[in-house]
Amino acid sequence: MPNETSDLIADLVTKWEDGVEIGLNLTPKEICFEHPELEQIVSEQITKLKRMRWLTSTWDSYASETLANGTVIANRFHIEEVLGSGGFGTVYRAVDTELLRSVALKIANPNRNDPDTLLTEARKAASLHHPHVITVYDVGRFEERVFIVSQLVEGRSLKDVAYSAKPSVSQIANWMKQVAEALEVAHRNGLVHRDLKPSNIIINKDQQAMVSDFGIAFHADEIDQIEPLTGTLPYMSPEQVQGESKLMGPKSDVFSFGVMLYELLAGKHPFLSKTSSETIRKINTGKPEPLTDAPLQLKSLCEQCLSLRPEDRPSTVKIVATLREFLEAGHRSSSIPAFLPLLIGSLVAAGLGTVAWWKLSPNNPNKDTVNQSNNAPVSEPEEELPQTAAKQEQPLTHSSVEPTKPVAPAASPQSGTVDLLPLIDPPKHTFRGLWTKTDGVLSVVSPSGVNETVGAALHIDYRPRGAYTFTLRARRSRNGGLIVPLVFSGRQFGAYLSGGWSGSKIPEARPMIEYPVDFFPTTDWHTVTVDVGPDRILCVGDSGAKLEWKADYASLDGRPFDMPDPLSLFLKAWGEFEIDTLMIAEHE
Amino acid sequence: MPPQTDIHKLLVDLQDSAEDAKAALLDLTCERLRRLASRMLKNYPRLKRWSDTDEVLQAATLRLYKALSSVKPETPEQYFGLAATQIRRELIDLTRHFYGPEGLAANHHSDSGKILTGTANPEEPAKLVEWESFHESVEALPTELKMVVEQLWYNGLTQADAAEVLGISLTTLKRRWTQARLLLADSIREDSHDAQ
Repeated sequence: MPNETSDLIADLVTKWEDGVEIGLNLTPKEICFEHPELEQIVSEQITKLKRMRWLTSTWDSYASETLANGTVIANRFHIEEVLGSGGFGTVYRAVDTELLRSVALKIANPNRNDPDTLLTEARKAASLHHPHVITVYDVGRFEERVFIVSQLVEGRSLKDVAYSAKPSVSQIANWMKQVAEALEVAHRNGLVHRDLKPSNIIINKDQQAMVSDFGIAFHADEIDQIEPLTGTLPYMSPEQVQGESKLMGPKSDVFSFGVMLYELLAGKHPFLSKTSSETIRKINTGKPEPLTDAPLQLKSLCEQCLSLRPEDRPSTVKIVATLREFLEAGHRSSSIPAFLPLLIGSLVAAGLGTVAWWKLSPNNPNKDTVNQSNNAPVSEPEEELPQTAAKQEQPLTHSSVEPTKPVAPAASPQSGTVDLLPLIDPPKHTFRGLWTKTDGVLSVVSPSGVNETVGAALHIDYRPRGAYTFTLRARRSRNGGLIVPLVFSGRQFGAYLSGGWSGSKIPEARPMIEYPVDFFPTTDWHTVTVDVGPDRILCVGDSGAKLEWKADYASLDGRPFDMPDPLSLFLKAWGEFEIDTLMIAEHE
Repeated sequence: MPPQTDIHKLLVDLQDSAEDAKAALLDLTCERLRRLASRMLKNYPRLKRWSDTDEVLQAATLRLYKALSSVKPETPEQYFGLAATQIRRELIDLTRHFYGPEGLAANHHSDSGKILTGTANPEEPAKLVEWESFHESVEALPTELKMVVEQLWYNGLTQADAAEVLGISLTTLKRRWTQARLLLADSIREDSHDAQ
């Protein structure tokens, strides 16, 4: 085979892999649309490349095989839908056909190195019985994989609750007391959670906190066997970060507890920095900024929990007592800094080889059920959201797609920073933009512009409560591209806003293949406005390109579109891309 | 390499002969060896029963550290090329240490060497002898492809960093990475058939 052909085939297979990494599954036919004679061999090479997926670490998106709805596990559990996916596997809502009850069923990914770890997790979690610990009902094996059946909790993660509302100090204290009570029981039974973080705490419909995911918990007497750097970096204790196995124990959980408490009270993470190494340095040596507005008792408790030396941290028994005392004193609720969702995205920027990092999973179609795996998005309660009907009475007009200008700052505009986070590889250049939100308009502005190589995503976990418009001004390199998936309640819906992949117009993957448009036809600066309403999505570019979904857009994933669903927004870029302005304007 | 490290800065500092940068790179390389070795040995938890794997790994790490600290690479490419070669050699030595003709497990009749079932990807080498074959297959790749595997797999660099170290475009690096894996897939499959 001539070298040129061999290179071309490799390029086409690489194009397929690039697509996988940004969440697409292009078919050989789509990839070879300009070289149909190569379709067969490219297909074979893709199959071959899949066999080598163990050599890469970014293939989880397709390595994880999702079971179809209706699948029956162990002749008993009827899969209803995917709730989300996490570090260990995929979580489904299922029905136990013997006991006729809904359960959460967690199945290890087929590509997990050691599925038995999941079984170990289940055994440990099953030994705990407490109102604030999610109950494990059963375990089993399915096609060489371990599955765990546990209590299905209706609710939302603490991460979601805390960052989408304004919990009062007393509410925070109450939740944290319940978490401490759960930990106290676990510690008393020789269990350490070791991955305590807001996304592992579920707030159920009765506003009770429940601790989930004892996925990497370990027995104190197994301490020599654990992998030190397992957990989620921003919530790790100094001894975890340093890999000091012998120092790890219940007090490590207390440190993570302190990080959460600080984060909830301050409205920002105590140690999180734009790089993992800086985060580690802060965890190891730095003290967080003092809590200024928190009540003295909680401030003191937080400082004690964040002590560098484990022996200086309080026990969970003492934590529970302190929080109980605080609550019994009838402390008045006070306001907590609001509008934190943007910062959530930056939480995941950090990542060590074995440190869990995540991207927002699209697999969370259920509105009310929290994802009981790690870190998937969960939905807002309906009562907190605008009424669909009211929104539908205000159809979007064409004028609303004009680029939205940020309005003049009000007296006290909310502001902060947003980080560029790695999607495929860690970013070579780190971008930190500034965001402001004033009168419903969110602006993200980079003074120097984003300039990122392949594999970056600007993740804004921003949740408008209704119709909105976002405006993006950017330019791409010759072989750059951009995809803007909009995530509604975990259901991903995306639009290619750029061609330019390998210098030719990409045949958009299903269902986008029907909409070949190019919003960035040249390497000049272009502005694109995306208007998202209850009955359509309209993308308009200054190049004249236009893309609109109406009736068919509800059918993209076979579900009706419900506008009040919250969303998260990803901008994924490849090649080189510069963004100088991103604005999101919520409509009345 | 753990992504928290600013490889780019280390490379710049290395060119300025900064000792701190060299020490940091050495640490990262040793850590990479530890991770890859752990991956190879993960299916052999019972090795602990009759051998201290940590001790063996520690010795390999020390050898690696000595080998790398005694040379003064002039360019990042030289450093990472050398590091990858050393890592590969140590990994091959590790497999032979346990399962070679003189290996501890070569004539062991207990179940100590039994590998775990239900491992990750069925295509990933499970047995140490298969790992050895993999490392040798990498060695046999055309130089330009081997260099890419060395940077991405053995050194654990990101694709962008690897392209910079090798002085090639990202597109070229990706192409070679694909070609290398396709060749390795063929090689592994052939070895598997030979074994049967």
